[in-house]
Amino acid sequence: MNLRTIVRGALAVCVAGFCAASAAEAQTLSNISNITLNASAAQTLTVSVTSGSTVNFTLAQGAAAAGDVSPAISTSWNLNPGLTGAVSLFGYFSTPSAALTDGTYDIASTYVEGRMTTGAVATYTAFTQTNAVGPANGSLLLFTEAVTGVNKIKTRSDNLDLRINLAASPTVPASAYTGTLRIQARAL
Amino acid sequence: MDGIERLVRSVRTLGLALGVLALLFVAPSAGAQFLSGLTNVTLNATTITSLSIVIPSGSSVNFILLQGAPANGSTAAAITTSWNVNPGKTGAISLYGYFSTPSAALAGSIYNIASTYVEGRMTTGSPVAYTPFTQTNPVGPAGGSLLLFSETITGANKNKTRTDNLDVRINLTTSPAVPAGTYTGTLRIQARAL
Repeated sequence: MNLRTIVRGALAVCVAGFCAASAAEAQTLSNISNITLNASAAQTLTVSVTSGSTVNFTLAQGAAAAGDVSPAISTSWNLNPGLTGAVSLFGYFSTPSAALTDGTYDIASTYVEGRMTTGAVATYTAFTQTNAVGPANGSLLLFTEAVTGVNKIKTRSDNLDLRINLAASPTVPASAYTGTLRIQARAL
Repeated sequence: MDGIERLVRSVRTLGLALGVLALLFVAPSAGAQFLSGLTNVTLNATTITSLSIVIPSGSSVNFILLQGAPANGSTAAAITTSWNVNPGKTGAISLYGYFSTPSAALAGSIYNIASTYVEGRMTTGSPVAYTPFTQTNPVGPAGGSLLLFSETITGANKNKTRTDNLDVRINLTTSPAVPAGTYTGTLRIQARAL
C-alpha cells in the first residue's frame, strides 16, 4: 500500500462521510400528533347444547327411567375476575308442576332428576331447588366454578344425565309427554 | 514703458492669485459632500423548511372489541399535513403512524393487544385496504408502524396542505381471546420529508 492508495482511501472516506451527513441533514421530521385508542372487550357468558338436545324416556311405573342420551352442555365465558366471583349453571322448568305434559296429565319436576358428575350433582337429584335462575322449586344447580385469573376465559363441556323417576309417583296415564328443560348460566 | 509692462504683469499675477483663492474658498462651500467608494452588503433570506401535522378531528377513537372478528373504530381520524419545502432538497413527504411499543399497542390491566391486531386504512394514501401496524419504517420502532402516504415533491406542490382520513380497526380474527376489560393505547402520527 503506497502513499497514493492511502490518500485515495482517506478521500473516499471523507466523501462518504460528507454524503452521509448531507443525507441525514436533508431529513425533516414533523411534530408528533397522538390518536388515543380506547377499546373495550365485553364480558360474555354463553351456553349451548352441543349434542343430546332431545332426550327420550320410556317411562317405567314406580321406577326410574333414564334418558336415551345425555345432553352435552358447553358453557363459555370471558369474564373479569375482578367483577365476577363465579359462574353457575342451572337447569329449570318454567312450570315445575308440569315439567312434562300430554295436555291432560302433567309430570311434575319432582319426578325429573338430573346428574352432572363433573359438576355439583354427583347423584341424581330432582329439579326442585329454588335458585337464582328459574322458578321456585323448579330448578337444579348443575355446577359452580369460581372465576380467577386462570380461568377468566374458559369453555367447559359437561354431560347432564336425566331420568324420570316415578318411584314415588302416582301411576302415570299411558300417553306421550313432552317438556322443555331450560339451561342457563349465571355469572355473579 | 518698462514700468507699464511691469504694472500690467503685476495686475495679471494678482488676478491669477485672486482667482485661485476664489476657487479655494468658493468651491468647498458649493460641494460640501465627500463621496466614498462603494461597499456592498449582501442580503441572504431563507425560508425555513416547514412540516407539520394536526388532527382536526377524531383524535380519540373508541372500539367495542369482537372476539374473533374485526371491530371498526367509532370515528375516522382526520390528519392534516402541511409543508413548505424546497423541491431541490426534498424528494417526498411521507406520513406514518406507529406505536411506541408494538407488543402493547393497547394495554389493559392484565393483557395487552399487539399492533399486529391494529389495522389502518387511508383510502387517499398508501394502505387503501386495512393493513396492520407491523411495518418497519424510518419513523417508529421496528415492526410497529404503517406508511400512510408518500407524496413526491415537485414545484407544483412544494407548499401544500392536505387532509386524509385514517380508518382504524382492531381485528381479533386471529387473536387469542382477549380478556374482558378496557384497553387504551396511543397511535402516534408523524410526517417525514426527505
